[in-house]
Amino acid sequence: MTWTITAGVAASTRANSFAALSSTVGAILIGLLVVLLLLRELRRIRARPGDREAGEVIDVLLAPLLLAYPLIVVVRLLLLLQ
Amino acid sequence: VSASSVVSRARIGGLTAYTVVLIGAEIIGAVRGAPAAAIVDGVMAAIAIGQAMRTTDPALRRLVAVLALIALSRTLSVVLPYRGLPPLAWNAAVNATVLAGAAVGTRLFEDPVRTANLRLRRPRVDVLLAALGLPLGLVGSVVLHPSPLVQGGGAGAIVAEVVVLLGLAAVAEELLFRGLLLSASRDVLTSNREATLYGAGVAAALYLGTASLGYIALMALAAAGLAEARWRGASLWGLTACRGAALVVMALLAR
Repeated sequence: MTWTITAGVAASTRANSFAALSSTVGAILIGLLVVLLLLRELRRIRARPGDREAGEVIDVLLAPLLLAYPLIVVVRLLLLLQ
Repeated sequence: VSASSVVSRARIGGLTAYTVVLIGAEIIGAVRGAPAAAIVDGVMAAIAIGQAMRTTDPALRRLVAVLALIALSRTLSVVLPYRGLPPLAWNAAVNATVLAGAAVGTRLFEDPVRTANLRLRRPRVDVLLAALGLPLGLVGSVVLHPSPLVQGGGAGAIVAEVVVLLGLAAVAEELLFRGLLLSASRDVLTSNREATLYGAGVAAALYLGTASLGYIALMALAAAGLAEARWRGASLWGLTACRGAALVVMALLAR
């Protein structure tokens, strides 16, 4: 058992099919990432009042997503090559 | 009905709705497993970010965005390949993404440096907090009996544990919970005490998956104590030192 803030996820992940869960949840997140990128670009082009604040909100979720995806790709490629 | 009353009701409504979903997802995760919880969290993050973009109320926007980030962090921790990575590397990856989101999240506030609590205002409180991290880790270790993050290894493995737990896990948790969540919830609840109780409740709920009532209670107490210390002038560095010291003690005792 691990015991940082992600402890519950770690314990539960061990007990379930990782392949099944990662494909489902990963698909949701890829959709979220694409939608957020599109919305951000639309807001940037329109530049209406309030769009700057909305852009900052989008960035809060984009930052972890944009960092997570390269990590996932690299780790999975390394696992495939093993 | 006054305009301020309508705004207040909307804020409390938003806080209640998203918090119920967030805690509900944790309960689902504890009962049905992380995948179900991760899907609920992912959907909630998408809906919440949509509302945060539309609302014209800055306090509600900040709180909903922070709750969306917490939900997303739960989902990301499932998507990152837990089985393919050593536990310490997985922890580092998950916490790096949370830290990135939390760092960007400070820009939602009028004074990001104050929200992140970066300034050293009361160094003595910070030093005291760092020292309190040691008994906190000892009690946590006794209550939870954690398994080691690294099997074997010498000094290098210990240094890696310290770097990940102190430099990533503790910083990310303190910035997100005692920085962003406390600040955002205080703006909505308009009281430090209520924000402390709310933040402690949310933080404790995220440990439901450990299935240890003792550890959940300990984390609720620790979260409330750290929040109170923050209101009394503790900086992010002192809070991080406390949480990080506790995690490092638990890691060393688990070896």
